Amino acid sequence: MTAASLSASPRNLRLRANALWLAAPAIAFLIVFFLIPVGRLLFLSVQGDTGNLTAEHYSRLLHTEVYWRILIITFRIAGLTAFFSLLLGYPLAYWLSQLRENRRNQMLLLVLVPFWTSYLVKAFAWMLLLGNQGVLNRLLGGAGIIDGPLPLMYNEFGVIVGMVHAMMPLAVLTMMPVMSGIDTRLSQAAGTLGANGAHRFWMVYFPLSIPGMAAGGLLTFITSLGFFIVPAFLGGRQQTMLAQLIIIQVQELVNWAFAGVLATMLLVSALIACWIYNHLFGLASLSAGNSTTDKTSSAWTRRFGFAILEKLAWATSAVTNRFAGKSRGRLLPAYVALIVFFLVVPTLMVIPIAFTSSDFLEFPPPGYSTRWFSLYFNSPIWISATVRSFGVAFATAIAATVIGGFAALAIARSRSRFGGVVFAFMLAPMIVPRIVIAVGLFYLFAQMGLVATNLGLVIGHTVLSIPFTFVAIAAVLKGYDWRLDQAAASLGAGRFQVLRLITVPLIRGGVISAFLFAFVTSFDELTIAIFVSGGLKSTLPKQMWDDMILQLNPTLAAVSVVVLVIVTAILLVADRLRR
Amino acid sequence: MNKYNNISLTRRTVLLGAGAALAAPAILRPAYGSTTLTVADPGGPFSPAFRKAFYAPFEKETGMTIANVAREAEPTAQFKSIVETGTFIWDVCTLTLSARMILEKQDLLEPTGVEAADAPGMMKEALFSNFVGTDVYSTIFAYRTDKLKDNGPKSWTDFWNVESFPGRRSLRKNPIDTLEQALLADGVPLEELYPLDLDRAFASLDKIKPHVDVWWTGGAQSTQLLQSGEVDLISGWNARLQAAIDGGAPAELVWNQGLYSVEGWGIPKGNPKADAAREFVKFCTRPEQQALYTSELAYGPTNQKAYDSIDAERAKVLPTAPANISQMRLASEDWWSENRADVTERFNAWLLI
Amino acid sequence: MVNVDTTNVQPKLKISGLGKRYGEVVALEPTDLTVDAGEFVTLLGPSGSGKTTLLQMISGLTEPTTGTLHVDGRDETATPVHRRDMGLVFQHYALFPHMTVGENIAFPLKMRGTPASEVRERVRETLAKVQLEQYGDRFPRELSGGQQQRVALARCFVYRPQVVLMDEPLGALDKNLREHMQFEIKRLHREFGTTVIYVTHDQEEALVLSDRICLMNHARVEQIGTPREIYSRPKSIFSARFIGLSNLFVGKVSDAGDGRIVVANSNGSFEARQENCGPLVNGKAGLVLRPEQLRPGPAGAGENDITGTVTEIIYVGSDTRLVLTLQDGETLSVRHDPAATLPALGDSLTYHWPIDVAVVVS
Repeated sequence: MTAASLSASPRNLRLRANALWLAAPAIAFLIVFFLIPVGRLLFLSVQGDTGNLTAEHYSRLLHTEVYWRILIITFRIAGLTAFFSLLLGYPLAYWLSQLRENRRNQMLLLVLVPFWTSYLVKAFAWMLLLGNQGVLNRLLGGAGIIDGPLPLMYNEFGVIVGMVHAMMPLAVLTMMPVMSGIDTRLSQAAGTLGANGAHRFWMVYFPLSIPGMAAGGLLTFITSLGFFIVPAFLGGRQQTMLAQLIIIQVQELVNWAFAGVLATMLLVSALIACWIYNHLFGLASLSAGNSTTDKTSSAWTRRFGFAILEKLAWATSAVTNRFAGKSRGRLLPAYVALIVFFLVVPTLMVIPIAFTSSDFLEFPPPGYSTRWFSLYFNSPIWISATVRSFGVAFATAIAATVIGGFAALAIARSRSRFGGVVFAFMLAPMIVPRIVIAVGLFYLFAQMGLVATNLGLVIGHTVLSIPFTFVAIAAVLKGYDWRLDQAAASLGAGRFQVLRLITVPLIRGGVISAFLFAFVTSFDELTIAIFVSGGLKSTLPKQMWDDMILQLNPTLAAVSVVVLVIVTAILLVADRLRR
Repeated sequence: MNKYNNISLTRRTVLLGAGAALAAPAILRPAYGSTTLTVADPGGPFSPAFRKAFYAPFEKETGMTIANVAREAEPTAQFKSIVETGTFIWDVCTLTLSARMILEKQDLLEPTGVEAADAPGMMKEALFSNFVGTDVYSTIFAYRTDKLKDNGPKSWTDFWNVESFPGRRSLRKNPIDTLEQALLADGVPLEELYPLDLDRAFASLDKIKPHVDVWWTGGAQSTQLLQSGEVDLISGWNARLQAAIDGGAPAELVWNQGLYSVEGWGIPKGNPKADAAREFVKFCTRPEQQALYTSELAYGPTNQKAYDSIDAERAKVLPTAPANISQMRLASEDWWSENRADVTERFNAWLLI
Repeated sequence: MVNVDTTNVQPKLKISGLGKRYGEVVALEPTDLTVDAGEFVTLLGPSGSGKTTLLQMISGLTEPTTGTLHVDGRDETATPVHRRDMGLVFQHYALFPHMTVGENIAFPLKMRGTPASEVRERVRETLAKVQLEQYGDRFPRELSGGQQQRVALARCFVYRPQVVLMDEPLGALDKNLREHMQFEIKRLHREFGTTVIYVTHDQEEALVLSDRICLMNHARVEQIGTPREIYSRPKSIFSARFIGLSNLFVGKVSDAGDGRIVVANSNGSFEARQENCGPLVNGKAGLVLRPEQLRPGPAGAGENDITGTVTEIIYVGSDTRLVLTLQDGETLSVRHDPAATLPALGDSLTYHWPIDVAVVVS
């Protein structure tokens, strides 16, 4: 071992120093299409009327308490969303991680289903479910369980339900690879050493899964910070998030300087969250792996953590001992079924609604017809928007996977101290509110003649997708055995051949999920589409948005069903081909 | 069914057959014959209605082609970007009066050149040097007749009266209109609304605050809320509340103490096709054209002469019908453009307490 | 296949008919095995022979399809893994990466509710026993392979299980370290007096460590016996080939009378004692000869002899081995007498052996 690595080390060193260059395309791309446009917009916040530098916009922030309150609310909602996404998603991720790979991929489709329904439609589906006259209240009332309707919506609860529903797939997809990477023999070893199920879980499995939870938590938290549609539709008077205010400033008040101030505020607080995270877990743990335990701390916090876990383990075993052995085994599958139901139920509701005879999104529909489908299929506008959305999403997925993948490769191979900076930069597009990116990009694209072009859409969506593809691929590379590459190189493969024939096939799982992430991000994206398409190159979400300006009609449901069918077919075919 | 097929046909013509479409009438008006104007309307049902009322007749008369695209609900940011970057992806765009005000202040609008004398019958509130109103919408309220029976609320004071008119209530999560409603409820006469007495308005809002079950944020949401019976009394834009009633919801509109406003065309400053755009904008002031869209959109024509060709039953649900508009007043854009930022801030703070 | 070994009245471990199938695939045929208290038994065999499956069923990690397991006369077939008083040392150690060495070793004690003060004392004591006193606060990944292995052993022996199971624990170590660790394991076994069941595919390791070897192949037991028994009296070609270096002549068997049999093939006919012959199938058998049993000398000097050409001279340090190629192309390994001069390649040599040493297997 030592002898071999000694002789290889000079080459290795060179390789590692060079590796960071693989991130160059990603860095260049993000500088041009993200950093510069966003920077220019944020710069407005320190610019006075005559172009002079000023802090006047910021002083308004200092003197107005409401923005700080809303910042706290934003953090609270994002925090609760991340917490519940992890808590409820953890058993699901665990269950998935225990499945064989083929079956896991199939089950993942179920987890991904919520992604394929436009979030506008999902928000309305939740309104139908949670309302005072909603399905849930009617069911509970009809069963005599409750006397009056429960306040399930237009409050924090409704917002959290909607947001957890949107974020849980992300949390599950981030936690799962870490979980499937946990050596099953460790649990077995704990068993032979006398640990029962509860102890095996809390003292061995759980601490090993913490990097996955931390990564999932950060991703969901940061993504949630920028939410605005769900709180707008499902929230009450007190559920206002910062992104909503930024949109008001940009679109209604056209006060971009103050929008810049608010965007900076959101950005800075997100960066602080990242900094704290980095301090606790190390940013690199976003891409999983076990080496992060170094970071977890001082011996003191570790011991404290273990003491808590031990207490939990004793408590859990005291509780579970009371259950009969048989029913315990069915608890997890039953729970998984429940959560999967939660994830797919808005989509399932959309199907009957799409066949409604009513002019409204109603559940249950008063009658059935296919008029909304024929409306959709006979409309060249809808069809062209659908085709464009698929095309743009496909191109985006390829571009983001390649660019993000090389950056991930660079980070995984590099020992450079700039690695951390590059890492943070790759995640930055996730933190900046989309509206800020969209406006910034519009300015840039106008100068480049890319407004209202498909290329413009692809570039904009790629900016948004890179963080996801980067994290997904970095996660699998963490556990990658680089000696395989060396072996291939020694057998005569060139750099590119190594990548094509060895690395990529082996990290296929991560590449595929990166591709899917990017595809979904683009497919469901509205803000950039609104600005960049200019109404001329309409994508599906943009078309849906336009259609619901006056009245939300069931065409949206029909579109969702069509999309669901197409996507499911594509994924099933892809799954077949993979085998 | 037919209605929708027509739409798709016309849309197809626009999108796919733009070249073919402009070839034929090109002979008629050589000056603009080959021009295609890109018009940003609010999308949704506006597109087919406006095509019938304005786009198709204009194409026929001038030989120009109108390509319509859907604009954002608040297109100001896009409008600003379009002018500042000189990327004229739109030649004409519908604006609200408040958007007009904001854009005018930033000098982003081209003069329309339409004088009052050019357009007899036009409401004076609908004509500006850089804006031509096409339709009037109003903020009113509706109540469910299945809950509140015959003796429903008649005014904002009634809306605020939770004892006599029990039911779930919904207001817009926005200070615009909501503050006016609060003052009207507190007994301020319609004529004396502006300048708004903010302290009095918020004091009045304090009273209704515990009884507001839903603060709606989007027009589609207000339709949904009324249609599903989620709430029994709701403020909203007349056409969106009307949509619920058209869909069979048992509800009644209350025009009394309504606030109306105007939506219309603006031209981005520096647009090279400004002359053609002006021609189109002027065309849209014609009463007979405006009357055409009212069969599909529950908005009021800005040209009162349009009512000559609108049937009386339909006129009942249009804001500018004499019976309705007499009970309402124009919302003050002047006041709002002065105070919007601060009031929005105060309103948001008030919501959180 | 049933191998019954009844040496003691109350064995520590009694395995009866224990077997495992996964659908159509047989991982282990129903197997019997008894292990006495304090005994060191090795399960030896190539990969896929079922030895790890057997070990996992004893530990409770794998549920058997058939059969029972008795420990001290108690039926423990259905006892969950954590309630069996057994220790398992894993092939790749399975040390908890998120715990320090000390915490790893303390883990089984904590699981048994041992008071904290006693835990500390016993961890210290055990660390000393494996010479890792200074490493209690390190993380496993900061240790070398050999050190990690010692931690794994310490973690297992610290709670003094009645039975310790080891699954190729030295497989990942280099040869020198492996030999050192073999002594370490022997020492721990002696000191704690524990019953050990040890899995390996390394025959040398098995010979060095075991009281008895359970040789396994094709999901069943081939032969159980002391290392000496298996080496000198293999019951099958597999046994003969797997343990030690051996030469094999396959041929037709015929009875030569007087308690002797003859195995004949194209290289000649060789005699052996009937008593050294196992049960035969259709008259064919193999004659097994260990290299050290062959002596050089002229033809006719012994009871059996054979001649071949030297084609390979292998120097292995302690001695030198010669490979002779016989008439029909088969090869024969012999030990070169250190006193004699080294032959050259191509020399023709004759070796002979007494009739008593050869074993005939089917």
